[in-house]
Amino acid sequence: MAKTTAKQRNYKKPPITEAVLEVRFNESISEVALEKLAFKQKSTFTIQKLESAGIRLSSDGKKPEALDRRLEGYKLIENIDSANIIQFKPKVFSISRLAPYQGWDELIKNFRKYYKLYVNKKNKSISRIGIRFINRIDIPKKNRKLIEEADYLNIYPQVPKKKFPPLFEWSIHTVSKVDDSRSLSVNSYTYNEEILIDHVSIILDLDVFQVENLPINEKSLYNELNKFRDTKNKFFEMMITPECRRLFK
Amino acid sequence: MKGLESTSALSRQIDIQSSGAGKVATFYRNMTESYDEERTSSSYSNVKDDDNRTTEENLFDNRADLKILTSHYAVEHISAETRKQLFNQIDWLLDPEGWEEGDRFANSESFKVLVKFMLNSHPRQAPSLGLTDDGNLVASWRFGDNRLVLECLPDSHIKWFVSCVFDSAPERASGEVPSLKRLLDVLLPYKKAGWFKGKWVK
Amino acid sequence: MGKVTDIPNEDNILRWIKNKHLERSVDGKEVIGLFHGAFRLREGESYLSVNWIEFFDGNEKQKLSKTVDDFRNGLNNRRLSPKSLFAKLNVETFKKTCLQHAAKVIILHEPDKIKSHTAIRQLPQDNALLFDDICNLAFDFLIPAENFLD
Repeated sequence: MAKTTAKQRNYKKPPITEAVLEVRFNESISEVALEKLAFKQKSTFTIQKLESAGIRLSSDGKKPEALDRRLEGYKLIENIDSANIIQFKPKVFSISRLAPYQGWDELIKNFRKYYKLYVNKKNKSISRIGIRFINRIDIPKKNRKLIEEADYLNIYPQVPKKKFPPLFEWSIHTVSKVDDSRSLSVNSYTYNEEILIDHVSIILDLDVFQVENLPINEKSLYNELNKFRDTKNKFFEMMITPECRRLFK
Repeated sequence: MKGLESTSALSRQIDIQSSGAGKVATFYRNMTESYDEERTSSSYSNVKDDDNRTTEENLFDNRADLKILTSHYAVEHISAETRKQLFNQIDWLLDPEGWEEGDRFANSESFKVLVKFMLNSHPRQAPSLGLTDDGNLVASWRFGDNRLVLECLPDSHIKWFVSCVFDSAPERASGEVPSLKRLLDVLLPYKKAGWFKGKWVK
Repeated sequence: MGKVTDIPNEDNILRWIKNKHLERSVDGKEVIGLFHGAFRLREGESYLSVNWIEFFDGNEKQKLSKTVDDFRNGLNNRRLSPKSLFAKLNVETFKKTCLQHAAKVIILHEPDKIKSHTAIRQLPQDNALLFDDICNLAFDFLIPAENFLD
């Protein structure tokens, strides 16, 4: 098991665009129970029904048609500022916090509140737990055409130094085993849209997840999630340089 | 039109994400986001059912879309106070009680242009918001006798109008520019009007 | 459509302003201006629709009330939003304002289902300064729609 880091960095402007906590289960909740669960939160959230469908496209000018529509679950968007989003699916419960990030304590507090409603006092068997933090790092070009990724990041594509054309767009996907139980998935890519003028935006998307040796009760789940947070923080800090940290202060 | 609406929602989801990243990276991201069960799913990765929603529900969705866009683009770059003011304006603009049946909802792409302008111009406060009949956002700022009005078009064109009093002499000007960068160039002589604070990146 | 006639310069017209064209203070407590869209033509329109207040008899309040009732006939059972406003403008002042921008508008009473219906024609759509002047003119006399609701 990973050790808990003693110190958590608190940035004045954390680059987090979305923080997600998700638990998956071996058994489903019925559609009826799911609907009831979602609509009970009507006073605080607006409910969106989530569906998936196949699409039939035809070459005879007919409009595309949705086929085999299936209920995926419900998305609950908090009424006031739409920054807290809960998803109730037959086998999945998740909570997302969009920017501005309010801190781990607030996130886990909301998670606990709605998790209890989802499991409804049952000790449901968990199949996966995961936390995902999507960061957008806006790097100043300082009047140069391109940035030096190495100045800000410790994870980026390596290319031959001589005679290789400079990269203006890239994408990386990695998965690694943190320990016997936990894995880390990293997706990082350049954002092709200029949001801040004379800046390059890079997405650093960390997903810490576990599919074995899973917690067997609520208390151990919360302990695990706290450890996940430590893991995520440790690897996030490893992936950025001191120059990058200055951007969040 | 059930099928088309669901299909539209799906393609809108992909389009919104496509405009953000490089095409290859986006394609990969969208495919894995929707179908990769290995990843913890984010709130962006789902298709919602657009059928049978009331005007009130559609207005909520519109308000939520704009607020989520703000979170996504602004991250921590606008103050809590400005964010609060902006969200209040969104609520008043898209309030069911003030809504006229048949009017077009606020265009997300137009709103994106406005948010990016705010991120780069550092206004002292949020703008007052209006909507054109096409669903484009109109934003205005006042500081004393000075007023700035922008109409943000979804293709990043921006129509601008200023009405100022400098040295007791009133002046007005208007125009249309093809980009945010050009807008900041054009508005630079008016920066002393007081709507903005801080330095602008050139 | 009924007989088309000129409207006397000393008379007044009423324009309905939707909530989305109202410039509100940042705290939302008051309307501090109008956006140009309040007087722009919609897609497919060839004239700006307003209502002739002096078409009806009575004192000022009665004329306004009858004009709004007449206007509501054209809403086809859509409700009148309590957040919308009406702007009262004098015909002569409106014409003079437009002339200052070399725009010679024609304001004609063109009754249809709405008896007081009036069309403002030849209003240029590409002059932001003209619209600013019209909005400033209209802002001087705004009446909340909720004043006319039961």
